[in-house]
Amino acid sequence: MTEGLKEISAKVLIEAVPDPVMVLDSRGLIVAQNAACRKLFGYALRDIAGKHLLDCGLASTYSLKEMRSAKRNFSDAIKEDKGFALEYEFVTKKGRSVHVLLSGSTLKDVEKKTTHIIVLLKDLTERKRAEEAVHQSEKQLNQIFNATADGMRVVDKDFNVIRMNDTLASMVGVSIEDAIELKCHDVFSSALCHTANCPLTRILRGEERVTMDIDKETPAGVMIPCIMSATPFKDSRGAVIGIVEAFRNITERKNAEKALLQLTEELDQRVKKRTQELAAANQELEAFAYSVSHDLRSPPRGIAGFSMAVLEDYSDVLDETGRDYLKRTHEGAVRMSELIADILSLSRVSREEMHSEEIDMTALARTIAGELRRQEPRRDVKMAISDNLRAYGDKRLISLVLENLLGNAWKFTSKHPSAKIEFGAIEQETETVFFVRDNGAGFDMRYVDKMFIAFQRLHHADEFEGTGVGLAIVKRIISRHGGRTWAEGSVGTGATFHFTLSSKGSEVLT
Amino acid sequence: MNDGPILLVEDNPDDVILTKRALKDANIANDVIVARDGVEALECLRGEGAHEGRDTSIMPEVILLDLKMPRMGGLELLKMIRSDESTKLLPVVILTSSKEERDVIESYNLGANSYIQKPVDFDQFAVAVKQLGLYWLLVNIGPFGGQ
Repeated sequence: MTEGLKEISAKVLIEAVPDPVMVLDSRGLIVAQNAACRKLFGYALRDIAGKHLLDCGLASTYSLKEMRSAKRNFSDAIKEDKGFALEYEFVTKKGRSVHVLLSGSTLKDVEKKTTHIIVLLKDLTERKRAEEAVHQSEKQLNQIFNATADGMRVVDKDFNVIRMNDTLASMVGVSIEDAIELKCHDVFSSALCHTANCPLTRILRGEERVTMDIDKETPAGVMIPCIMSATPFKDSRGAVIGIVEAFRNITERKNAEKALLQLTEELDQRVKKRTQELAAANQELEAFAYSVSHDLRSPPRGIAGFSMAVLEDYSDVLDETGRDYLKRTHEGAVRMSELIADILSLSRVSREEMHSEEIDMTALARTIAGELRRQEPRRDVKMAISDNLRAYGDKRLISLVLENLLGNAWKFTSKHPSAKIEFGAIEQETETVFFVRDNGAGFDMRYVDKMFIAFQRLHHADEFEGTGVGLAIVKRIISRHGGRTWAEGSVGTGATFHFTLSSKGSEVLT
Repeated sequence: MNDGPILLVEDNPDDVILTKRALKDANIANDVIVARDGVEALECLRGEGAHEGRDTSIMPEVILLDLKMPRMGGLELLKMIRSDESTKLLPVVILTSSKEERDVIESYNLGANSYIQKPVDFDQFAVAVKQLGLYWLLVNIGPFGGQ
């Protein structure tokens, strides 16, 4: 074969190679390139012929020093004479950065002297980019993996920990590097390890998700209550190759729950104890009231009965003073009996069960007013009772409230020539305030606090009769309904008594 | 007028005297048999014990019954009266100090015909006794048709 033919054959051969190929002379200067190489760098042969291969675009990314060492390496590789593979980053004519793997071998003449170097250039740019992308995504995945407050790990089919995040590492007190060498049950175990209910075993049996509250134990023996969630870890073809486990430490929540439970129990106990005490006190009160009701009422009845019998049957053997004394004896016994009756009704008001219902306050007040008029038909009292007053409460007890308040108004206006009694309500934002107003004797505001206390009176018996229990009954009934009672007045101009009932359900219909 | 006796079951002697006086004031002349508790009252109705030999064919026109008494109280006695064939139709009027709701309800539940709280004022007491006497002895037609 002639030299020319050899050359032609070599050219044809080089052109035929689909990968970029360059031919250098023995000093590393470019002699020829094929079409693929032209395409890679974008240079025509005349642009680069006679240049050092590494001068075709390396300059912009390599420093001069790097450049020198690169060329030296390249020259050394060529001299080594046994093929080489070197990777460089080039910049193409159009400015694109390409990673290229240079590999090649030397051509020698008959005297074993290097004549040419054949260089195969492999464009690694795409692969580099893919590698970089994988690296990036791996980094991002790690960031996410480590950012979560849940401890997470990946376990393969053979119970090996193949991945673990920082949260789990600090939770179990084992470094990630150490954990990767270990079995899952040696890093974070539970009562389910080595049983058929092991989450990995369940996932491998085909479950898509396993979630449970579980007590996990660290290698140091610390128990950590967790919410655990396990899902299959699959390869690119979708085959299950392990599991991803996430552990949420719920120690604090468990402790809070425990504390709450304890608190509730304590509270429960306290309520129970108080209820028992209250029940005992109530029972005592009940027994006391029952006894009072039967036994304490008999003696005054005897005194009243016999003093009256003497007055009636033996009046003629007594003088005026004797009869006066007996009358006083009789009155005293009657009064004592009234006091006992009032104590009983006050205690009854506290003891009786309540049955709440809608009450027509207007109708109730009118009935009571009618009864008052019937008892003293001669009195001229102007009664103004508002229409459509409604409330929610125990009808019998509320009726007792109105009887007392209207009865008081009736009583304390008895000396007034043109008595007036009003019953109405003021609608306020959150509640309805009922009131009973009169223009009677009134009272001194200095003593207003005493008025609602049982057996406290602001008037003498010879002015207005009574035992001083009525307002105490009113107050107790209203407070049992969750409401308030208060009064305003002044001597000689009358009094106003206000009360509210529990705001719920109480309303004035207009 | 029904002229059978009145059975007064009452442990308080004062109340016995006052009740008898009120009956007299009201011109009610029927005999008054006094039993001091439920046990004595049963003996009277059955002609036993202290009332051995009493003619049990003569039943009271009305029984006036106190509630709180030694040995056997009024409610227990009422229960026994109502469960005994020979006495279950007798008119029973509860006459007591208490107006505790549970006493009133229990009395009516057990079949009392009437419930009266003894008023402290003797005049009122006399009126109450007179009215109950008039009703049970004059108006009411008893189960035994008046003996």
